[in-house]
Amino acid sequence: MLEPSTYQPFEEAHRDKALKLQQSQRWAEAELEWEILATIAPQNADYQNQLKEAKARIAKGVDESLKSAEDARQHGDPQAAIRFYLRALSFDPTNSTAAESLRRIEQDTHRLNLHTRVARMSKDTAAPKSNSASERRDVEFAVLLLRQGDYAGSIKTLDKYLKASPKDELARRYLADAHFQLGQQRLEQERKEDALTQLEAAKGTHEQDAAELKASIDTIRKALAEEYYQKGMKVYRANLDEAIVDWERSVQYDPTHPQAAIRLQRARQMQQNLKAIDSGQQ
Amino acid sequence: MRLRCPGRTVRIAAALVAVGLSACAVPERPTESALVVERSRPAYAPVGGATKKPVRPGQVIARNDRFLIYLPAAGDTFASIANQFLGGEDRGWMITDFNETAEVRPGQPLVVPLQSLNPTGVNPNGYQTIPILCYHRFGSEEGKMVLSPAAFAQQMEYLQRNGYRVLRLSDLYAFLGGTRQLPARAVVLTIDDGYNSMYHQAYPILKRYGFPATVFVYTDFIGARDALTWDQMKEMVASGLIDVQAHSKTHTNLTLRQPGEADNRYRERLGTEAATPQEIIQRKLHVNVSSYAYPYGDANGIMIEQLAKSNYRMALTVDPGGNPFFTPPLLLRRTMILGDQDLETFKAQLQVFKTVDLH
Repeated sequence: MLEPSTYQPFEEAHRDKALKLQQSQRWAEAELEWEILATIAPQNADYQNQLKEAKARIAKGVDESLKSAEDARQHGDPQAAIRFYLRALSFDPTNSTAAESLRRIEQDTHRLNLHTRVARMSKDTAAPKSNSASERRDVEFAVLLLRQGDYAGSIKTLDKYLKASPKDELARRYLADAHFQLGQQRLEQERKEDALTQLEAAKGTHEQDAAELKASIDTIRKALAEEYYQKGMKVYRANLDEAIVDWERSVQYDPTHPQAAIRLQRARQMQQNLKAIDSGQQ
Repeated sequence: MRLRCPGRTVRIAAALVAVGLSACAVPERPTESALVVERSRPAYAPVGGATKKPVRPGQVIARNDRFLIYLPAAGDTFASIANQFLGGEDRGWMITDFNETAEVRPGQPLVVPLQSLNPTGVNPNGYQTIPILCYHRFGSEEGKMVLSPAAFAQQMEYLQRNGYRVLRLSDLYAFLGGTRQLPARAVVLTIDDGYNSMYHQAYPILKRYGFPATVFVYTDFIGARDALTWDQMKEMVASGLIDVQAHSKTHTNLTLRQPGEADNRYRERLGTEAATPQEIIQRKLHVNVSSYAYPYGDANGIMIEQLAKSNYRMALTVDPGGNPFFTPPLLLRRTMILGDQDLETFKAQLQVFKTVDLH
């Protein structure tokens, strides 16, 4: 048995730690601490009880988490499933059901991403004829930047490369992909106009997903047209000139916007009338 | 057999001596038989026995199959304690991490975990991820793929000073299998292509810090003016710090077919790109080649299939981010370290933990 007078600090430190971990709901670590204490002082009924309680909490937490994970999977929500499997592991880091399930979900996600990316790039795209080592490095570097998510860097590198080697169709594909990815990123950032610029740059060579790309571009255009229309509506009473600018933008993005064109025509007429009045008064 | 300690006798299974105390054995999980304590005693085995005599420094106070509580003696270090109980000095981190202390104090008990208590690295605040850093060339010339030796040294200094533990790539495999805990703040270093600037500029710095790294070479490159030579690679491998693994034969984008290339010819070509560098590197350097870095970071199902056929265990992309234990071993993420990145950017790449509220 540890001598209480000598090792009491050790026992107290571990007891304090166990209680703090419990308070933070960190049951796996708390269980370990109670196990250490119960090993040091097996006669201490409190340690044994606390250890038993921790084990019960862990068993319950694992059980509930696994059930929730399975429900999430059944409902087609892999992100929620991941979270619940991780929660199960936070109670029991060695739980093989949770671990294997996470591996399966991750494998499926990776496969889907790979398939999408490779399909976008490789259909009807031949590997290039041998470039010089330096040219290969430039393209490789651009692709590495693309994979790392530095789309702007990849575009800059490929633009420069293509000025010197304009016939490299593969490089053009990568460039289109970079524009496409950057466009998606800008959309996520709610930067619609930037997104549109990037997606339109991808349009020329991105034949693989032409229909999807066109649909994305059309959707963004319509959304921007509506935004500018609404902007114009907010300001036209106080500032007709600004409203006209907004409605012109709206119509540029979507010439078929039902109200923008009419509002623009009326506003221009009004503007002309006002100018005429001003000239008459002068 | 009996192990006699002055003033006390503890009956221990014979296997304990072979497994627990041998400096040569490397038990990941000590077998149950090795840790059987005389059944008449409670789970805690007071070394003082019924007399409750005080435990002396340098002795085990108590143990079970998951951990032991040890009373350090003067001169003990984490490395020596790990060597005594965990099969190797390099496992000292297990004791440091568990006890959350940076020093051994004689007379102050330490808990020595005898197995990976959290092999998946998950806790209610999130989960561990292992960043694999990817370098290419070193030198003073301009170019994003070229890192200056001064910047590389600064990064390695940062890792050492801030408690990062640089592991071998091969250490990752057991973590991915959920059987081996890795140190907190673990990082892996890789260098692609096989430029000889690695030998001239990076290798001396890695030696200075004792950091292991894996070089991925594409075998068609060897023999080029600025490529590593076999002698250089042999020297680095012999140092114990550097491993050499495969980065294809030709370094072409293996997800793309040649014009008019039929399925079977494509498969065959990919098979060659997997098997040839493996055979050459193994023959020349007498190392086991079981890791592969995809050229351009791109992979597809056929390539993965060919790697599995050649018994590769891990393969690396250049998709950024850290790797949790559930990352597919043939699709590991890597983060590129570029020549124009400053130290702040480098620090941001060291993703060793993903915070997720799992309460």
